[in-house]
Amino acid sequence: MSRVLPHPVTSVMLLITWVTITDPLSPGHWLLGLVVAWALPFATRGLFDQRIRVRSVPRILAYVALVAFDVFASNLRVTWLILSRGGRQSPVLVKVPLTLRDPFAITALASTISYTPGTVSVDVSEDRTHLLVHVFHTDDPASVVAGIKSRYERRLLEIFPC
Amino acid sequence: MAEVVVSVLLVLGAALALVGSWGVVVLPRFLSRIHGPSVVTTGGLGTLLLASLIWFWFDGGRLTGRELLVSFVLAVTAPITGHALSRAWLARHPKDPVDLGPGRDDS
Repeated sequence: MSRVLPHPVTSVMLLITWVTITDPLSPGHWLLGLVVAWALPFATRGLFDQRIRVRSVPRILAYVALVAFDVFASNLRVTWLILSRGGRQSPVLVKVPLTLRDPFAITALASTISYTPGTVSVDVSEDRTHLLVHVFHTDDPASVVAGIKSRYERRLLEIFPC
Repeated sequence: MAEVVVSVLLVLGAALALVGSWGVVVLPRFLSRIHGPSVVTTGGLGTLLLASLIWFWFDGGRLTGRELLVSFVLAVTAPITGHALSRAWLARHPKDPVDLGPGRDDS
């Protein structure tokens, strides 16, 4: 099973992607999508030796909703900061100590931070214990670190097995 | 009615994209300038995609998942640019940048 179909979740997502960008009502595209959904993960199986495991799909959806809301709020904040202050922000680089150990979980956290305007993750330490984050504007760097840990990392710990 | 909503969203999205791009012009430091485009890819494009969704829903009577798919692909790929750019900056500034203190991350 796993030799023939190495990444079933990826295959399902590829099939959905294929019919969405083509035509969901055409049987031909479902057939073509099935071929793509099987062939791509099979051809690239050597690149992904680890399988991504998650504990709870509803929690992922809740996390996506939370991040979407935060992205909306930080958009308004950063827009206002650019318009009102021009180039006069107080940016700061902070080190975020990581409780997460799973590489996929750390990637998810780093991407969340980067996707939210106002913070960009710059680097992860060699031993994967710290994340280096650039903050666009803050007067209280410690509260930004605490916010990232309590708002995002705590939830990711519940999503990924650790 | 849908036309009014779509028009407002289009102008709003374009304005957000403009402010984000303006950020690249006015922000003085390299790492600060990275934050400008993230407003364009999230707020600007998000608003434009919402306008597209509403338009094709009311005008064509079709609700496709394409806008959702575009947002998903953006969410996965947009951070990669930020990582690549900021890591390049870090490679050129090898001393521990955390010790630089607020406002002194100049490049």
